[in-house]
Amino acid sequence: MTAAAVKITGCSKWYGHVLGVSDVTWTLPGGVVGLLGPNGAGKSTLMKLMAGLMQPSRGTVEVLGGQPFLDPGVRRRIGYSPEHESTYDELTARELVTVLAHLAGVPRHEAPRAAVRALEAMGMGAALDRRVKGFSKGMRQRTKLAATLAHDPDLLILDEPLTGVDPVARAEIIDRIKALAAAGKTVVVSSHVLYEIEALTTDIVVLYRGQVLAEGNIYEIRRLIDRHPHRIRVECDRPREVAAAIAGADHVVRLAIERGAVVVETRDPDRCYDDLAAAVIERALELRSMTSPDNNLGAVFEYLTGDRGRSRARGES
Amino acid sequence: MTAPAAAPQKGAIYDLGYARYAGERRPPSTLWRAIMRQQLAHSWKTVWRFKLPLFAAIVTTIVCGVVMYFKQSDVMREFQRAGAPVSWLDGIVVYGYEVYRISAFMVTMTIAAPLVARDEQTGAFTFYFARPVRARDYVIGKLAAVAILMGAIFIAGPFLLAVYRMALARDLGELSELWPWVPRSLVIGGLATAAYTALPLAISSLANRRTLALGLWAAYYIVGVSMVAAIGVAAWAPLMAIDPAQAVKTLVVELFDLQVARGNHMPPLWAAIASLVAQSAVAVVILFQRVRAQSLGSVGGAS
Amino acid sequence: MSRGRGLSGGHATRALAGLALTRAVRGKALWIALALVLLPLIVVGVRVGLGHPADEIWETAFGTTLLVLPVVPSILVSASLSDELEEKTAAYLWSRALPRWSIVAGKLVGLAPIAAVIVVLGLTGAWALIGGPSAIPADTFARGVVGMAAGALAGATIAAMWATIVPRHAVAVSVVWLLFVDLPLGTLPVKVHYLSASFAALAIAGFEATAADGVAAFALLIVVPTAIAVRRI
Repeated sequence: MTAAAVKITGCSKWYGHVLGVSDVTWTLPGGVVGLLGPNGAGKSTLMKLMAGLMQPSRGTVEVLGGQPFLDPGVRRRIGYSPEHESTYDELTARELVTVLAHLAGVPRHEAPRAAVRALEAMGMGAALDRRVKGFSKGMRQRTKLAATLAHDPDLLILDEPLTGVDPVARAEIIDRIKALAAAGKTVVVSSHVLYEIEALTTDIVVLYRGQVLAEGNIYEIRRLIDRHPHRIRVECDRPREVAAAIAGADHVVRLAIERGAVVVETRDPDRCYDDLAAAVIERALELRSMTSPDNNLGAVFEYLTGDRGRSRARGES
Repeated sequence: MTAPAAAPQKGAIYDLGYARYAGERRPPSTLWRAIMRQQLAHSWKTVWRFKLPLFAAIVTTIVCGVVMYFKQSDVMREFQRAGAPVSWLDGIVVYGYEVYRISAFMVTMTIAAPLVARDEQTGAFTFYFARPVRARDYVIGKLAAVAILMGAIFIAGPFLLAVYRMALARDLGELSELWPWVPRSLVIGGLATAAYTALPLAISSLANRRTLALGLWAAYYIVGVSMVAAIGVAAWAPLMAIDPAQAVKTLVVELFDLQVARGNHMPPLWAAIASLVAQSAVAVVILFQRVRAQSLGSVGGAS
Repeated sequence: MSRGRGLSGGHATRALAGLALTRAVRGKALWIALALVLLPLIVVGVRVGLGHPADEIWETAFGTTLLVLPVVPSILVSASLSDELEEKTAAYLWSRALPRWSIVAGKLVGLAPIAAVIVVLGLTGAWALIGGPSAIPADTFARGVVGMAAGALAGATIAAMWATIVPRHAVAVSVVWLLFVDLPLGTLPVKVHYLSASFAALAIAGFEATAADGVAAFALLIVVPTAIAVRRI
């Protein structure tokens, strides 16, 4: 049986009086997972614990079967990209990635080749021998990611990896991360740009005030947030007829008529879709569109962190 | 949650509830006070920045006061009448200033020397000069803050000792001999404060990184001026006054007329005063020019 | 490519030493340190010009170069460790597959010898200005150089120790310690002077105590502060 990539048990970390993470228990078997949370939620703290930069104040953090803080062998298999953009500005991109690859365990004679491969994969082939000091934000970010990948780690921990990257490069990096995941790597990625996480994965962990607020598939979590009914927007030629047709259904919470559309709030989106389809067909309505504006990560995130408390969706998927 | 609004019409304006601040705004000429207050608050945090040097200065003041009191006791007067050499106790003032200088140097290393360089390194200049803060507001604010901290070491302690010494006077005759201590302590403290405030700030403005500024200031204070002073010992005594520590010591010995502490290798009083005034003035000019260049050119920071 | 094994301490130390050295050469601190050791030469030159006795000038040269000791190790070693934390580049090292003590060892191996070479260069320049072997015997010069190098190495370990104890104010505390504690400590006629880098330098150079005392102090100052720094890291 393959061990989980990450296994965190009862983990808490505090800095003096400030609580970073509180009693987090979470297992990541593999794949790509998005780490979400408002500022100060504990995402970076959790990532640093996983990368072995610090020890938990309480509890255990097990990565790839070992303790990352104590075991350099475990850290050999981790690639960590920190949030900040500071690097050794005096070095060239090639020198920087080479030395970091070597320090990650790549033999000295192999490190330069590994560095060049990683930099070229990140689109930095033309700037290999330029000093990092003169790089733009996007170039620094790509160099940083190259340093994270150069030693071929099994687990990638990427803290806001797409900050400052232009849209074209962003798409390339997202594709690269997906390719790595397809090749069997485990990736933990955090971002404030929710559509980037959506482009990478449907599995998320939401942190709030140092605790795990929700984890699992985005759509399953959404389904479980019964405090917030789903909204379905139907654009058609006669929205009032649609409204009248489903007003009596027990799953309908609220109806709102707009110009050329009706917005239905429902506790059971599956039944609601069936009822709406039947209503449209029965009355031969001209249906222009049927969308769910909140069946996405942004809405899930907002619902979860907007509530002051823990969702019942924890651990259920 | 409210239903999404219809697609906006061209030229529509939405009231998002934001209201521009319409209250009173402080005039730009007082902005330096905000900078000064922020710097003082920052300096008061942690033990290492200012509290430890201040503690050392307070302990020094107390010890000096105790020695002064002891010297004024009847027992010591008896010893003095019997011819025992107790005037060395007055030298406690000089030794006290040695500790004040060390405390002040610690403050220059933890606060003053890294100050402007850190603002440049972190990009804080962008925040300052994107607002109606002028270069002189920044300079005056930082100078004022550091001067208050230095003054707490160089002026407050010696001033209290001077007043205390007068309070220990037995009669009006002794009091009339002692009253000059008060203005002298203020003069020495003022000149020392000026030099130990302006010099590290000016050197800080020459560096773009905190640790580099610290290195430059340490190099200047410990090695640079010491070498010039050493040349002064060999060649021309007034050159020794270029060392701020030596200049302050000269002020103390000469103004308090302390025979016991007078050494062979001391610059003349005029050189000590001229050196502290000149170095402070040049430092302020350098500081202002560098900050002004930052405010007019590409501001600050980390990118 | 090996998997699941970290870098050995020796290899990591060597790599980090190379990194520290490259950064120092391309940065400004090294050049400031080099400029600093030229300053005592000005004093020596003036005294030579005034015709002072050679042995007195040599003593002055050693004394003024000793003033450089609080600064050079601090701006090289302390600043290097402190910068890692301030600029947050420590995250790259902490997350790498290397034993953590090698971070301190790498900085010391890379930078302490540089500090020693710099002060030795200054002293050598002073000796040449005074008149070389015809003015100051070669063995006196050699002892002086060895003493100064030992002082610089000891100062570097002390600087590293303070950088791990007070990382935010590493340079400040290191300079203050080496200037206001180490130098006076070295002049005390009691055993506590074994804790002073300047005492080690002066004793080995033949100005104070015996060479054996100097070597003992040097050994103590290499081992103890390094151990504290490695423990603290």
